[in-house]
Amino acid sequence: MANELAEGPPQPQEIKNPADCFFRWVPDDFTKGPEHKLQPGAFGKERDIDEGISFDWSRYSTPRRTLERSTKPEIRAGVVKTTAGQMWDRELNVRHAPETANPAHSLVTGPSYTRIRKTLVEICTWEIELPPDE
Amino acid sequence: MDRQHFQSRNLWPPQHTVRPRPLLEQLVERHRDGVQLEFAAVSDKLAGIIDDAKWLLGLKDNFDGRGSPRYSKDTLDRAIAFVRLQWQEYLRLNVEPMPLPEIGPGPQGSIDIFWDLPNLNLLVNIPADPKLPVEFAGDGKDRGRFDGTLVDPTQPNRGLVSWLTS
Repeated sequence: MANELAEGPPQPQEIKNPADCFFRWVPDDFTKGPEHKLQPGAFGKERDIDEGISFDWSRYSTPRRTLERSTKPEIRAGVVKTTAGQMWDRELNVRHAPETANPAHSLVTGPSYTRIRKTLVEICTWEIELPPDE
Repeated sequence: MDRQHFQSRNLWPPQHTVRPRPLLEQLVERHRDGVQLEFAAVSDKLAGIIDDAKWLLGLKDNFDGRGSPRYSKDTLDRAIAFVRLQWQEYLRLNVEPMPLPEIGPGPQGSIDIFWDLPNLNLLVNIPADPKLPVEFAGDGKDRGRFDGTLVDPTQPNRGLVSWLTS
């Protein structure tokens, strides 16, 4: 009985540490050129109804887990990283929004959708590079 | 003196039949030629990035494995028309070619137009649904922020073009 009650998404936790990392998968089509320059399109909402842009909190995920969970193996993709502090410095907010399938799930919000995406391009860096071009 | 037999002779004929052009005039002409050459080169690059953007039409539904929809020709045409309009307005106001943007895939079938320049950047999003607003966000060194939506993206926007003028 206790186990049944424990099922479901974990409770949202407060994000306090500016050094905490947040990961997001990026497919190749949202990069440009041989150096795989990030494009703002890489930071789209999964669905129009989503309140923010999905990232995984490092407290509950690793870059590798984020990559494996996010996409199909046949799609060339990498993982980018930013920190809570970098987001706060640029007027973005991040909150933990865990899901049953992904306890690390977090949402990034900000002044406008376009402003959020442009800022994320500026502050995210590659954590797992894309596989080399074939 | 018999004037009938008198012929005046110019003992010091001019050495130049064509007046030499002043240096300033020559410099202006050289500059104009240079600008025209530069304009032609940048104009070719604009045509190039517009042509390159057609790769977006080759992406299929769910190309990213996460349900992103394909890009429609209508959306791409609106994005290209928008870039051309601003290009013409920039040229009209500044008499020089506009910095070139990148045209890339945006979220949910929208198209991003992104000027990522050394001293400023500007992201304009052309939505898949033409009824939705065109949103933009920009930052410039010593110029602050430039955010908003465009009332009519089918018209040249002087504010946006001025922002791009460095």
